[in-house]
Amino acid sequence: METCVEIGKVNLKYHLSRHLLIAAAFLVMSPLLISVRNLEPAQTAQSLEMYAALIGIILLVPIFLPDQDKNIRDLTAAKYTPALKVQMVRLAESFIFLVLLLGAFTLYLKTGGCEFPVLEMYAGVLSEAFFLGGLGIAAYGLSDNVIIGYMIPIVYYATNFSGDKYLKNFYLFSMMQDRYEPKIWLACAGVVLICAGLGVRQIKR
Amino acid sequence: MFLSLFWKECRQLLRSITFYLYLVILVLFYFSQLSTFTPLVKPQPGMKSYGADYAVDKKDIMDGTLGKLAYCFYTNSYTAYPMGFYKSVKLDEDEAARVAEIIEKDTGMDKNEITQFMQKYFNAEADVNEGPEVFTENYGPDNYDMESYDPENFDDESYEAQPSDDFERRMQFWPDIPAVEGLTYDEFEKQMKEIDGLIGGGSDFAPSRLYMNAEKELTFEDLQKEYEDTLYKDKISNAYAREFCDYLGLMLAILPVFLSATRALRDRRAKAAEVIYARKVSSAAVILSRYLATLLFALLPVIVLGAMVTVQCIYYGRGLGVDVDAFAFLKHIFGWLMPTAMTALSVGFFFTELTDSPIAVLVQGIWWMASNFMAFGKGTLEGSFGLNLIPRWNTCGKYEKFTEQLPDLITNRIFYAAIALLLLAGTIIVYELKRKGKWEVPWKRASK
Amino acid sequence: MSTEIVIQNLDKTYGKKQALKNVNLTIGSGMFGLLGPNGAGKTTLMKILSTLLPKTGGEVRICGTDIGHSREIRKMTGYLPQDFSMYGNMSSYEAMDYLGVLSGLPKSVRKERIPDLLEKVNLQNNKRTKVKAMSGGMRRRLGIAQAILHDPKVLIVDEPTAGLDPEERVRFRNLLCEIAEDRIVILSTHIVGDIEATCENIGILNEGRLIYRGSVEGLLGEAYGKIYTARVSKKELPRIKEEYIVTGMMVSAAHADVRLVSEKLPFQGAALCEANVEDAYMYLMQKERRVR
Repeated sequence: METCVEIGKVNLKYHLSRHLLIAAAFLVMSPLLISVRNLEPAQTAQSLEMYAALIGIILLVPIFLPDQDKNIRDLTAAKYTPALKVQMVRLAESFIFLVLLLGAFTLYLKTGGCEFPVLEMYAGVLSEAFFLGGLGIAAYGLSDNVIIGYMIPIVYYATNFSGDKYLKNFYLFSMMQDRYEPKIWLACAGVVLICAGLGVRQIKR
Repeated sequence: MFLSLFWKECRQLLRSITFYLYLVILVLFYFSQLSTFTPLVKPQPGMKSYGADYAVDKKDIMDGTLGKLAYCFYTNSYTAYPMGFYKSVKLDEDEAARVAEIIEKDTGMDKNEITQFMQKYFNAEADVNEGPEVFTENYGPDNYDMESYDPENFDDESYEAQPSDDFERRMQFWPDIPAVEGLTYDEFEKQMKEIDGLIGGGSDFAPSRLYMNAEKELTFEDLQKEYEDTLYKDKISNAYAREFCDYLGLMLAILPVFLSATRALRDRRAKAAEVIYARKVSSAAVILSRYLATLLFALLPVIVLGAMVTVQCIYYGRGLGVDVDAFAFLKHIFGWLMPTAMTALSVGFFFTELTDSPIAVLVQGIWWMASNFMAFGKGTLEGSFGLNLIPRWNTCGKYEKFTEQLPDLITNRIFYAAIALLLLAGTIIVYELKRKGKWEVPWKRASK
Repeated sequence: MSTEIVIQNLDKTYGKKQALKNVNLTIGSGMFGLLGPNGAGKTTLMKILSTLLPKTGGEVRICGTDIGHSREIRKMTGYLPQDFSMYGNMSSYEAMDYLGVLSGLPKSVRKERIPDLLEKVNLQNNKRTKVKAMSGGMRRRLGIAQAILHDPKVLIVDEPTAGLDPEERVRFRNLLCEIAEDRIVILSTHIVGDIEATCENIGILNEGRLIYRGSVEGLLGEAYGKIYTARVSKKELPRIKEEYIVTGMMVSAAHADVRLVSEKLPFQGAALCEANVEDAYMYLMQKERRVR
């Protein structure tokens, strides 16, 4: 446990902090880009699904970034603490901040006069963010290229603008249509994708 | 030396996973959106309705807008789309009073007369004091019954009906209220601008959106003219090329940034940066060769797809006995799409070189998102180009309307080409500074 | 538990390429040098011992533990890679502390050992210096310090002195010798001088095969009677270089003094001389090539 805390501290100080800053700034500047006050449920869903959920990509994808340098990767891989444990700590830390930031943003919408089912939509946007992040982690793990790690979830997000004809249960903007079931699919897929990303990373080593 | 560098960069791209991903995504996107060649619809005389389009006549626009204004005033509910995201605004007493003042001036109807008019128009018996939600629920656009273009009931069995999309989207459920005599459009526009200001901008009363408040029924002659324009003035392929650019512009405003960011980071990843810095070659040659190679590869798949559709157009044209412009797609790809791709590439190169990080992806991502949302906000995916990174023209045809807006498009494209070149110049400068040790990424600077 | 590494019939293949072929080696306490040309398989062997690469065949046991039990092995081994690198923004203390955490050391132990080790490698005044601001030599020393932080029985050091100036190199070698007192230190290097100065036993790899294992004296013995010096005219130099392996050359205005490898007296005027490790290595490699 102490090991995890220490690893978490170093990760936060040296790696996560800048991504956290960017995610927070992204949410803080939301009033400039989207509507955040006095929204009806469908419009609140839009602000959450089309905007806020993107911080999943910002916070989750970079968990392999500290080990981009092969020399550091080899060095830390030769240590007693398995590389997987370190990555899990980073993932957990990023996830905690994801939960907190999205929670804060959801509350912000509520206090701004938006009418919507708070818990359901919060869970929904969290699932979507988790899925997008997981997609990026899987892509990064497979390709060992952070740009591809960002590319895949962004492109997936872009394709959702064409509607849910092909995407069905993996459609990102379902809450706008008052549908929550896809969110469960997205959350499960997120778990699978993250496991795949971490798994491939271990094998490739 | 430059040419050798350029070809080496091209060869490098052929070995890049990012490029192949780019290719797959672009092609998949294209085939999912524009999978089959859709022939033009030749309008048939004697139909019940030919759909509707936004009004062009200034009087029509004034009448339609005043009707919309009266409706909004009546329900005290104004919608705005400042960034494409819906915003609902309620005016306070003073603001509402000002709106009433303007309505009275322009229509001659005071507050009470408006109320009576609205109630009569919607045959409303509900108590409006219950609130606008109840009113719109009972009498809003979903309930308004209009005679619509109904292909099922058309007599001629040989005709293949194709309802106009536009008609479904722009149902004018509010009545026209005629403007008083002597009201000039300029004066009217000024007043609407004021009201738009009260609402907070981006509303239906913003001068650029006024035309969307009035609808004009189209006639057989209107559609016939448009069809002929597409055949003889657009020479078919230009119309399809515009639609092609509309869709592909969406991808070309984001995908190329991944190519350029990957390329710019490669030197750092391979720890080859300093080795290259020390060489004789000029910074301009290094950066330009990369840029041009990446631009070529970004556009090549688009050119191939365009060629494909050109061939389809040519066969189609032959069947109709119409000349087709074989270079339409090439012109559109270079004039319309290339500045978008150039901008995305330049952002990628510039920010990656500046920061040695993938932040360019975030910058371009936000720009892309904002462009998309703004297009939705304008309420039209046909024109109103402004200074949007992604000019939209989500329709195949409308030659006349397009020609009117062409100067705006040209200005827009020149603007973006200039931005792209500026960022490219910036990239060369940053690279040169880095080479001389005069620029180091702030968070990588050694501490004393 | 004996402090010993036992390698039996070790094979490692990458696709079609066989990086290590049937390597048999036993390494005891003290400094063990691993020599060989580029691509010989030195780094591959080091990485297998550090559990960074899986073996394809054979058996490896470190202090009695099979190499397959990575966590146990990692407790016992310390690894210093060829290009030691750490997060640039960390200070040397922070880097040590983080790596100590990863080695499973509790806070009290780290607090005690880190200052001592930094002092041992002469970085006690650089506790707050950021890694990115350190010179190559300083980084290498930090690398050694982190490698022994968890007091491993085996230290695996990959080309540690490459790129260091002579003074730094000597300092580093002495440090390694100190550390090797009650440990196994495996040192892979191109620099024959490092071997001469510090190692009792060595192994030489060539194209994945172990072509020599034994003591340094043994290696010198192999080349006994095979190393000659001669003074030749500059005109003859190109021919001599073509016919023999020249391990040393001093060219002056009129002539050149050469040192060369030959099975027997190469020509009149050449004189037998005592072989050094470099000569012996070159002799061995030549023999290898002839065999192949």
